[in-house]
Amino acid sequence: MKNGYIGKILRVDLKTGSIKTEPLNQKSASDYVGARGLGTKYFCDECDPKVDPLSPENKLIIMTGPLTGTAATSSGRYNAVAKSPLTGTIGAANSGGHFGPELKYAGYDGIIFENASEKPVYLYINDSQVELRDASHLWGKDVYETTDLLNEECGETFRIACVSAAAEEGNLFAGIMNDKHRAAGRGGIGTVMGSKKLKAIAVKGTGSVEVARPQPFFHECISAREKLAAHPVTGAGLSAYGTMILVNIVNGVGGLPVNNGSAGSLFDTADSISGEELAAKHLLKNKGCFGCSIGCGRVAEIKEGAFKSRGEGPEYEAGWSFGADCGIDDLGAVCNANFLCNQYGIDPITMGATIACAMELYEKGYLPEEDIGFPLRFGDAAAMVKACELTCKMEGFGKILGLGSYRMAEKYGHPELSMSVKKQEMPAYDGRAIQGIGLEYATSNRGGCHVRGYMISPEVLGIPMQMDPLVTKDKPATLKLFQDLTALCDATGICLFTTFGIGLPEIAGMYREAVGSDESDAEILLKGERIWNLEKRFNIAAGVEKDTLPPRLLREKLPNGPAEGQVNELHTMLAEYYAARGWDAEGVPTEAKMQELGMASDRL
Amino acid sequence: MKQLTIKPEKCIGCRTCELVCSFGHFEKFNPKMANVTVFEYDAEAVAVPVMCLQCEEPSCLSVCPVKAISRDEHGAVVINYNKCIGCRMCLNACPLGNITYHPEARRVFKCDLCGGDPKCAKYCPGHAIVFEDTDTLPDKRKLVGERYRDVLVKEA
Amino acid sequence: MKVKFFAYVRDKEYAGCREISRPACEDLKTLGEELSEAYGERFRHFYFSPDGENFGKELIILVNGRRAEFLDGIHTKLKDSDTVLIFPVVAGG
Repeated sequence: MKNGYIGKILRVDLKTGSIKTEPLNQKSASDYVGARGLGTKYFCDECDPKVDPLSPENKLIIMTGPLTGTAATSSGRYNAVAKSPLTGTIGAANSGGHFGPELKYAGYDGIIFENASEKPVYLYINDSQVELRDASHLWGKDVYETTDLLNEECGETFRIACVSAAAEEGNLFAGIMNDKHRAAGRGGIGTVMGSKKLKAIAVKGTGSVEVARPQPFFHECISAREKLAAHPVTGAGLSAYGTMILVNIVNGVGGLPVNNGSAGSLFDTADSISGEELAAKHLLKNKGCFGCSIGCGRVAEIKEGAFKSRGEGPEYEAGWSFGADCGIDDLGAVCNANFLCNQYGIDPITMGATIACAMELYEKGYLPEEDIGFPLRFGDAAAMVKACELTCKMEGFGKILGLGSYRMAEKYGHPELSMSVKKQEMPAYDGRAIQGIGLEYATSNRGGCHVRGYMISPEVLGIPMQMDPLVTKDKPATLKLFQDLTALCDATGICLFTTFGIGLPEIAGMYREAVGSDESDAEILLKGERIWNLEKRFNIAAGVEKDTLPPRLLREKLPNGPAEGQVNELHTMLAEYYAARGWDAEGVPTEAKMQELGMASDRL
Repeated sequence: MKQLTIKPEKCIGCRTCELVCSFGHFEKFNPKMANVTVFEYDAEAVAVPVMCLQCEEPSCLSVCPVKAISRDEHGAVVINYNKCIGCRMCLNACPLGNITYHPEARRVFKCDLCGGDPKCAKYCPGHAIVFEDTDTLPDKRKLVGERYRDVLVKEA
Repeated sequence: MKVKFFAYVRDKEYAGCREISRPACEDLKTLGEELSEAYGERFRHFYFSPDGENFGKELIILVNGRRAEFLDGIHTKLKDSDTVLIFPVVAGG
C-alpha cells in the first residue's frame, strides 16, 4: 500500500500452528493510527478484559505504526500489546532498535499471536516465507545467546526479538528484547510471550514502505529532523550524556527518591551515578536506533573490579533504580545490574525498585534474612547486584523478587512499602516534589510509569513551557494533553524522545503526508485521546483498581530538600483531571465523551 | 574533486543513510534498495557505512557489454538505463559488492553521488559520511605534522 | 556560597570545574557577571540573553533547588548559605 502501512497482518495460532495473513483493518488503522493504538484496538476487539494474562487465551500483538521504517524522526519503534500479568491492565510496551522496521520490510504491519504452543517455538519470517520452528535448543538461554544462535541459524541479517529464561520461568516483569539491547520492557509483556512458549521472532524483509505523498512527506521529515538537530536536548545533550544526564537535575530539585523513597528524594552523592560520570569514565560510544538522529543509547564498559561488565545503558531510570533508590552510589554496580537485566530480558525499573523495597522490608525486620540468604541493606552494592542476578536467573530469593515489589511486600504483610501504582513500580521521580508526575503515575493506563505523559518535561526541564513542580495548578489539563499527544506519538511509530524537540504540528504533518490524510492537527490529536479512552475502558472492564498512589506519597511528608514537608496533592488534582477528560467523578468515560470520540457503539 | 568519505567512529548505526538513499532513488523506504549499507559489529561497538568508492578503474565500467556505464562530471560512475540491458555483469565484476539488483527495482543500481549532492552525507546525523573535497584531505596529514610539533614543544 | 556546574558547563570552555565556593554576591545577575569575567565570553553567552538583562535560553539555574524563574528571576538575591546549580537545558527519561 502507499500510505505508510503495509496493509497486512500476520495471524499465528500457536496451538494449531496455523499461520495466515489478513488485510489490515483500515477503519481501525485510521481511528487508532498504529503501534500502541492499533495494537490495543485489535486486542480489545478480540480479547476478554477478564482474561488471565498468563493463560493461552491472552493474545500477544506486535504492531508497528505508519511512520515505522520511514524517514520520519526516530522511526524504529514498535509496540507489543497484551494484558499485563504484572498490573492486570492493558499492557503496551514500546521498543526501538531495528526489529519493527524489518517486520514492515518483510511485508507485515503486525503479528497477532493466539493461544499457546506445547513445545518451545520461534517464528521465522523471511518475507513471505513464515514458519513456526522448534526452539527446544533455545529454551533456557539468555537474550544474547538466543540472538547469536538465531543469527547463526537464520542468517546474520535477521533481526531477532526474544525472551530469556526469566520470562519462561514466570518472572512477572520480563520484557521482549530485540536487537539484543532494546526492550519492550515494562509490565511483563515478555512473560506473556514466554507463557505461550514463544521464544523468539526472527525476521528479514526485502520489501518497501511507501507513503501517500512522497515528496511532501520527505520534506516534513527533514524539517522535523532539522528541528531535532537544532534543539539543545535532541541535537546535543542526549547524544553526549544519554538520559542519565537527568540524575543531577532531578536530584537538584529534590525529586530523586532515595532508599525506596523512605529517605526523601535528595541523594548526596548523586553526581557519582550521573550521566557526566558515565560519559567521563565508562562510555565507549553512543548509539542510535533505526532512523534516529538523537542517538541517546550508550555502550558502556566497567573495565575492572567486582562489577566488571559491558553492555548498553544504563538509562536514567535504571541509574536511579539500582542507584539512589537502593542507596547506592557505585556506578559500576549500577551498570552491572542494568547489563544483567538486558542480558536476561527483565525490566530494570521494576527490578531496582523491587530490590529497594526488599531492602526496606529487611531493614524494618519484616523480611527475614533466611528468606533472602544474605543481608540486603540499603547501600550494599554487592548485595544489590547479587539480588538482581538471582532474579534474572529466577533462583532462590530471586523467585520472590521476580513477583515485583507489590506481591513481595504483600507476602511479607506490608504492601504499603511497595512504591507502585496498580502493582507496577513508579520510576525515578518523587511525586511529592514534582506534583504533576504524581498525578501521571496515578492515572497511567499501565500502572506506575513515566512515559505515558512525561510531566517532568514542563515541571523540571521547562520543555515546552515551564511549570512549578511544587504547585498543582494547571497540571491536570496539561497532563491530559501530554497523555493524548504521547499516545499519538507512540501510535505513529516514532520515538517519544522526539517530543523534546518537536510537537503536534510536526508529528501530525508527517502523519498526514504518510497516510494521505487532510485531517487537522486537532483531529489527529483526537486519535491520541481515543487511544487513551480505549485503554481506560479496557482497564475498567478488567476490574483494575482505582487511580491512586502509594500511601507514602500521600501521607509521609518529604523530610528534606526544596520540597521538604510536601506530600502529593492527588485528591485536588484527580477531580480536575477527570473533569478535563470528560469522565465522571469515579474516572469512568462518559457516554458523551464516547460519542465525541466515535466510540459509543464499540464493544469497549 | 569531491568524494564520499566515511568516519566510522562517528557512525551511531541509525541507518538514516539507507533510508534517504532508497527514497532519493526510488521514492520508497527500503534499505535493500539503498546504495549504502551500514554494517554493525555489536561486540566491538563499531558501525561502518559502506558504499561505492567510484574506482579510478571501475571493473563495472570495463565489463559492461553495451557501454552503459560511464563517469559523470561529479566523478560518479553512473549507469545509463537507456543503454543498460540488465545482464548484471557489472554486479559480478564489482570486487566490492557495491552494485545491487532488487526485484522491486528490476534493474541494477549503484551509488551515483545523487548528481553531486549525495543525500547520505547531507542527512547523516553524526556526520559519519561526508562529501568533501579530496584536495582538502592533506589537512589530515597536516594534523600529523601538528602532532609532532606539539610533542616536540612539550619535550623541549 | 556554593556554585555547582553540570554537563558541558563543566568543560574547560565554560567553568572548567564541578564546583566552586565563593562569597555571596548581590544577586544572580551579579553572579553571572562575575562568573563571566572569570570564565569568558562563551560562558557569558550561555548565562545571559543577548541584551544581558535576562538568562540565556539554554540555561537552567536553581537556587537551593528552586528554579530562579519561580524566585525573583535574574534578580534573585543571594546569601552565603545558598547553593546555586547551573545546568544547560537537558532532558531524558
